[in-house]
Amino acid sequence: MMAESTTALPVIAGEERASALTVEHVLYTVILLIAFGVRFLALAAQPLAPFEAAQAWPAWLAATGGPVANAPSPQSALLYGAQSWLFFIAGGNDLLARLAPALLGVALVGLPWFWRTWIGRVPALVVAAIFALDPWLSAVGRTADGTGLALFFGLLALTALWQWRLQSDVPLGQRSWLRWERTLAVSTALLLASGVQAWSFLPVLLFFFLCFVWPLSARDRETGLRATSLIWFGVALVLGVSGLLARPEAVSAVGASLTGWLAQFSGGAGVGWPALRLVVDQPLLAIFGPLGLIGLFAKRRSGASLRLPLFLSLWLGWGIVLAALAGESPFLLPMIGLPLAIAAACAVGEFASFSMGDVGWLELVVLLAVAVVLLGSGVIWLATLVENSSYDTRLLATAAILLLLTLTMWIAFGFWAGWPVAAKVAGLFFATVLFLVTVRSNWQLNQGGAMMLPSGFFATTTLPEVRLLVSDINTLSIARRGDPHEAEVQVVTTGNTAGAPDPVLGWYLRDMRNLRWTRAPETELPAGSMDQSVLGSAHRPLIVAPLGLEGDRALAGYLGSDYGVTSRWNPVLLPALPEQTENSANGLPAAELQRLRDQQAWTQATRPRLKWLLYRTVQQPPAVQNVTLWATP
Amino acid sequence: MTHHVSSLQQGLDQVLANPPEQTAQAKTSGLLDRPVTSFLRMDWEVAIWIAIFVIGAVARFVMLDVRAMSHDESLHSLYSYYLYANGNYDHNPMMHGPFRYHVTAFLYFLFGASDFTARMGPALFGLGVIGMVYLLRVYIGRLGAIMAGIMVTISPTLLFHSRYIRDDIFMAFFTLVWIYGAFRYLDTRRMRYLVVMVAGMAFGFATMENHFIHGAIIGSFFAGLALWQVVGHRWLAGVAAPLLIAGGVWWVLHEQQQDLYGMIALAAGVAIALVPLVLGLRGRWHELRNTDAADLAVIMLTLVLPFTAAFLHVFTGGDPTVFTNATDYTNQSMIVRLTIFVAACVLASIGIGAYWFWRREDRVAAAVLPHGRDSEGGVAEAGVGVGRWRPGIAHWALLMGFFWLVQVLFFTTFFTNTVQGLATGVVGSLGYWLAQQGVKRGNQPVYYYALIGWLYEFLPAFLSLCGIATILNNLSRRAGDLPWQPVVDADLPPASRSVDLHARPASDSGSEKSQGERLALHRVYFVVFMVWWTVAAWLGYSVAGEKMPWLLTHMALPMCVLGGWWLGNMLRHIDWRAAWRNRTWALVFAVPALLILLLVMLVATSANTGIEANPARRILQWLLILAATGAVLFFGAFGVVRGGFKQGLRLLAVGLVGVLFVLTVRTSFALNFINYDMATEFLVYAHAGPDVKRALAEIDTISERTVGDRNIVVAYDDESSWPMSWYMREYPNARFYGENPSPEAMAAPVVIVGPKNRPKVEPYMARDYVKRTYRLVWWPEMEYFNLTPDRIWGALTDPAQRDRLFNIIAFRKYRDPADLTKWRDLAQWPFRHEFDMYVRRDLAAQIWDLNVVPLASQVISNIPVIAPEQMRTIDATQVYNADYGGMLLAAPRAIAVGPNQDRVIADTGNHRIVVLDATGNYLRSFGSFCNLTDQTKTPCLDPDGDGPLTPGDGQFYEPWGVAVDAQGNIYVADTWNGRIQVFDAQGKFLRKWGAFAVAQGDAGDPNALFGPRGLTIDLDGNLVVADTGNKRIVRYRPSGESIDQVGGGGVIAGRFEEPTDVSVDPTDGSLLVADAWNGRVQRFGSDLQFQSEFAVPGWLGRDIFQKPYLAVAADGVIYTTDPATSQVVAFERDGKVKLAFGGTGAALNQMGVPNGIAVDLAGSSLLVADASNNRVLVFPEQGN
Repeated sequence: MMAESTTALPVIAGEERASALTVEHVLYTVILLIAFGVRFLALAAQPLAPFEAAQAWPAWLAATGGPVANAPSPQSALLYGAQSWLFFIAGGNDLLARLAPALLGVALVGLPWFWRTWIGRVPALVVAAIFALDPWLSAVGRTADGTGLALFFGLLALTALWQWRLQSDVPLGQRSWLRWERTLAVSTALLLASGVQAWSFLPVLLFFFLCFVWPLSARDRETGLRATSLIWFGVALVLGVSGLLARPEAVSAVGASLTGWLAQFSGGAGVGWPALRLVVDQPLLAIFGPLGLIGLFAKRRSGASLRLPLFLSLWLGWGIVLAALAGESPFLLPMIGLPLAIAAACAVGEFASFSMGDVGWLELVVLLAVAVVLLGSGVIWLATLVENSSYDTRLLATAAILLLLTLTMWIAFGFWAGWPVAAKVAGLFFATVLFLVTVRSNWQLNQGGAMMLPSGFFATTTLPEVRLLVSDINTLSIARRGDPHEAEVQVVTTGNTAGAPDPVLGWYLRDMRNLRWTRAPETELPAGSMDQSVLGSAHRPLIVAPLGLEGDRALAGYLGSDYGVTSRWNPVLLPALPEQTENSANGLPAAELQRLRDQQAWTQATRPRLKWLLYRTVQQPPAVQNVTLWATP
Repeated sequence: MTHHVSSLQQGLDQVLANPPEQTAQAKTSGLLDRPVTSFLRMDWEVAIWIAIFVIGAVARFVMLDVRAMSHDESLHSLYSYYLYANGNYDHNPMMHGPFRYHVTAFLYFLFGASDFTARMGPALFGLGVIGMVYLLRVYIGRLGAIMAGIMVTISPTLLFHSRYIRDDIFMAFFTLVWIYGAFRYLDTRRMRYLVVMVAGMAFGFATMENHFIHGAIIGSFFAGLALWQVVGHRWLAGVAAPLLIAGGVWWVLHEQQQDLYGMIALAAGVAIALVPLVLGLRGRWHELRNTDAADLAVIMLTLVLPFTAAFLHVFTGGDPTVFTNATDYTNQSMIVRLTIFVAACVLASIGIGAYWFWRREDRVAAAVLPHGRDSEGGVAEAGVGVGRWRPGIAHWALLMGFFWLVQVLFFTTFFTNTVQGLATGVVGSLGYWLAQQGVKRGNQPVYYYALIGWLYEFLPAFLSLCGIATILNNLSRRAGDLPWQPVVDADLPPASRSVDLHARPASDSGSEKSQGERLALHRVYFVVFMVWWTVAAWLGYSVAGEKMPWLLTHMALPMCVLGGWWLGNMLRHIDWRAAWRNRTWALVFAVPALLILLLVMLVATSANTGIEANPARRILQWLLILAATGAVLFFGAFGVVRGGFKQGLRLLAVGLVGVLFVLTVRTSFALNFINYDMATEFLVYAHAGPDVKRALAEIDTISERTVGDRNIVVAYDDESSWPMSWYMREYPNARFYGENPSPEAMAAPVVIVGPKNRPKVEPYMARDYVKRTYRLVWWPEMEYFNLTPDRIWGALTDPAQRDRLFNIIAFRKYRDPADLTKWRDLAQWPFRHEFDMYVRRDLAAQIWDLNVVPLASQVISNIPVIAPEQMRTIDATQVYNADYGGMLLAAPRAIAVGPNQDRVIADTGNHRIVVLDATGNYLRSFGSFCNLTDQTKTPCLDPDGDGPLTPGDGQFYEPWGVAVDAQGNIYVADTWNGRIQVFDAQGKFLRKWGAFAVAQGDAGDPNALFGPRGLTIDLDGNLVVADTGNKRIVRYRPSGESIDQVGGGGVIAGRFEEPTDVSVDPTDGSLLVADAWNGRVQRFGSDLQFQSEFAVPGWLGRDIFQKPYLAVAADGVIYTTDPATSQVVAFERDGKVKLAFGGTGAALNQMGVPNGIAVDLAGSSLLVADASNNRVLVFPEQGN
């Protein structure tokens, strides 16, 4: 037993360090490289979404000293400070706006290295791999928002707490608290400064404390908490919320983040939304997460501690509550995904422990080959079924038969090789398959998005056309003023936004030196008179106005051109099942009527939904918010 | 044990008494703890290989999507996409095997569909080829493998096709796997290597049909090896010589299309070869059956044998061309026939396999070691094999099952396309390509590969020639003796090094050999195999009918391996220390120096240098060059003498190889990263031009700026469909119109058309669209056809031609053959297919800020509007809706007025003609329903029994047009029977002409009528017909003889979209045509020459009944009906709206669906056929 423990546990601080580069090091390095690639590949390809622009634009204004009245206020003091420094040093662009979350998103993937003593080495490695390719973490890591920062510092605090707690197992004289204590202090401070989702993470730390620290005896909990750690906490907090003291106004973001956190619970969407996203984006976690939790609880029989499953359950429950209360917020999904990922990794780790001595190579190869064939065949039938414009039960039956055959095969293998081995081989096989599906989901979510291929993760996205608008304004400016940024541009705001400037337009038109924000008149005006009210002068600037604002009141002497700025779509907009009325039989036999209804449901709702689930394609383009660029000929 | 654990660890163990992983992960954790160095021994060799892989990966993945898809690439990419997106893939031999489609579909599944992911498969397998070369270290030496690896990495051909979604790089990989597995089996005689070999075979055959060529090369080698081991080289020569000679004779005769004599020669060769074979094997059959190489050959043969069913089909008199179309050989009768052939081949295969492997089973079983491992003790190489593992019948069956499982799986698309997939896969794959050999796609000359091979693969070609010479030399000198070592021992991986080969003599059979000796012997086999592989690949592909540049891959690969071995071996034999000591290392630079001097000389003597004007300078330059050359030659010779002849030659060769290496890098870089889509490269064949991506970018811009995203409607035709079909998958509103431009497609804001369909599309586009022409697909210059010695000599001796040749070889720059002082204009490259992209003028004017030139200066006239003051309320003075001949009118569609003011009504719904007098009294009616094309439901009547008339004469299928000539003869457009029928005034059938058909092209068959409608009689008494479906106006004499015609589809003047009626202007005899879907009336002179046009308000209806008609009054006023708005609109002669009346309803001043209209010139009244109200209305004429 002792020998097993020794081999299972990694070398930790205080012990002699392994001098050689081990397979584990290499695997973590590869995982980190993959995480880097996933987060940085085409990072600036998509324009900043409105919520990203609302964070980046004020930072840019702060960095360049150009305040705009009613500009949105940031909700992440830490990101605001980081962005304003980056913009100050290197100028503003989409890549820099997303740089900090992307870097911390990569760093987050490395944290499981420190969890090896907590959840085990193989599960820690699997968690790192899952984190690297997790669609949600990747999306958050590619978004100029405080959530990525909150997740990193939250997990860092969790890591530090574990390592800090780990010291309690070390004889008093040999404990080295300080490093992790300070890490805990700093990460907690920066967590508080990192934005809205920090408030979601604080209870998780509390759960951890309750599960892992509280039960310890007072002696074991003797931490030797030093006052200096509090100083570390305070200094980090002050620096974090003030942009290294350069942005004292950012302090208000801490309060704003709490307000924002509470505000997101205004319209609860129930568990439907997180469940749908889990199935769509994270099938591995959806299946292996609960399996892992069950497995961890089941270990109680063999005398294992319940702390880990209890903690994960609490975390998961908290995440579900948050997601259910919030109105389809993607930022809360990682609160479900993270505990499920850890649980799933434990399950996969368990499955990976099977020995080849339990099964022959030949039977394993044959088994996996047949499984791949059946699965591949089933997938092809399923794709054919979904592509068919008419509902074909034969195709469904074929796919179902293949599925049944797969199950039968695994059951037969269970009889052949014994249930534990069969379960482990099957677990590994399906974990691999679902991991590949997760890789695909990651790609669809983070790289494959387009207007007709919406992921629906962030309901509102900015269209690439906004860059076209900027390009056209630059072109007109060059033609008229000899400089791409010199033309006078007026952006009309409407009552719909309470006169606040649109952050997307603000961010993308930030380089226009003569940019003015003008509130649209509330009252109806006679045709052709809008320009007078808006402009109030004899200038003939370029005007950017929301589409429809001008209505019949086209600006006299101006020509307009429309541009899509944002689009809005989420899976709720997928076609609903048609309502069926009893009196529509028209004398048809019941079976025929049912067949027609099934066909109608297939064509109108089921098939479009499946096409989105599988390929993310939609038949109708999402709603687009346009603006019109008005210019004198 | 516990004393190794620190107190800290003890504490941890207590706390973590049960970490989740603790139960059973010791083994895995052990793996995690294992130092990487235990897997990867880092030394210079490993470092070099890592560098090769990194360079190979970068070269294969960078800019992978920058090149537009070639014709074939787009096919492969799109059909993979269908498999991914629709689950729809049916194997078609025309597009090679299914494996690549499955791999690509899987990559789409993971990373989405794009140019990059489509080419990821080839790039990955390209890396795999490098990996396989690494595994050949045991045969070609470590240095040889590195050299081969470098050449594979930078080879222009292999690199280009690793970035190109075709099968060839997959095949290169699987061929290496096959070869590796076979040789490793010889080394170890382990089942695992047979599995590896069969995997290379199985996946290769599921990828591309040229694995048969590779199979012939590899299989014949092992068969020959087995024979050689048993009967010796003389008997082997006796067998091989007649076969080779007969093969050569067959090919010559085949090229001269004397296939019969060719087959006779081949059969004679086989018969002759059988004699030494039988004689040689007499009494040695048992030995042959215990030969490993023979086992391999039999396994290869029996596995592939079922594929040869296509041969049986041909030999039994079947038509080989049947395999060119899958539907021709997947019908029931063919499937039965082919099933019999396949079953025969399978039985033969089982029979051979059973015979060969069965009897060993009991003996082998006793000798099999645990887990199939053999002992490492010395045994005979080709001997009885007692105590060593050999495959038995069960193993053979296992291999057979594995091979065919892969085939069945992929050819049936995972059992989703079973019957057809098996037919096309097992029989069609070889059969189709047998049939294609006669087609000789590309029609390249026999020296094609020699030409482009030397142009791109000069380094491996040079090295492999050296290798062949070296091997032949060594074999000839060592024949019958202990073979020489192809690889020096120190260059082998430690595990593969031999003992001292010369310590004890050994022969090839009968005596024991150590493991090291066997490996050494196998290395000899391997290098001999490389020679055979290289030579046979060149011969095989050159002889094969179809020659394409991508097939050069299969010649480049063996040359790289063979050349790599030779180079490595040569480098190993250089005594670098001695070279350093005696300073002969400088010889390495001799060849580069000489080449540079040669280059200087060429430049100096070039006609363009202008040095001729200064003789003194020229002489001085010559002297300097000569002096330098002399110095290099002198010191070179001195070095060779001083260092030794062989050493000197090797050092000189290193210099030459260095130069060739640099040139290869340059060639490869230019091909793959500069000229990747330029037909100036000979490997860029049938490839999309760079314009394709430019055009797509322009479409994207237009789409983004107009409708957002890629939602723009783009119409494209069949000529541009490859690669456009692949790219258009991203445009949800793309419309494919094939070769028939429809009005819907022609209304798209962006229309793409190839040259073939230009004449059809231009009439639609010329007015409102601007056009740009792009290069779609292009081919390299192919002036190398019909090369003769005279041509070659002429090109070499003529300075201008020489210069042209030099520029092509060195810079891929082409002078215009017509004027050698000019370069070819790449925009006007002669070997190209173009496409035109039309963009609607309004869009182009706004956003397409390119130098577009309008095709025509015509401007569409403004569509007029009917002003409220032009609307009239006019009541009909008379309504014809009574019972006529026992029936009420039913949907009357047309009307005409006869010379005595008779009203002739097309009672369309009743399929008859009704004649009323001037006051509306019923005179007569004639006709009934007859559908000529479907007489089962509506039998047509024979009006005169056995008389001259045929059934259906005098009957109609919805007559939509009538006209009456001056004699009172009635002409009826029998619309859906597609004919004109003529009756006398009393309704007696006179004659008919026309048939329901599509007129092929503009000015097509005048007898083909497609839904003819409006008729009129011109001032000369001829009948003018609006042939609506054929989009034309046709004029006939009263007898039915055609005179002339005008029209064809399009929107420009003189063309029509749905011409529904024609009417003659009595004032000048001109003809007016209702060009319905173009929303206009066109006026033609009596000679059918276009005169003018005017737009019509309305005419927006497109359904089958909303056909407008027109009529012209005596004063030239033009009356038109508009069924969609239930109005009659009158126009002045110049097209200005005069007035309008009507409106939807059934009152006297209203109409339902007004179609036909006629003017009673004598009675000054206007007659309108109100179809939906089943009546004809008579209005007073609204003249001036």
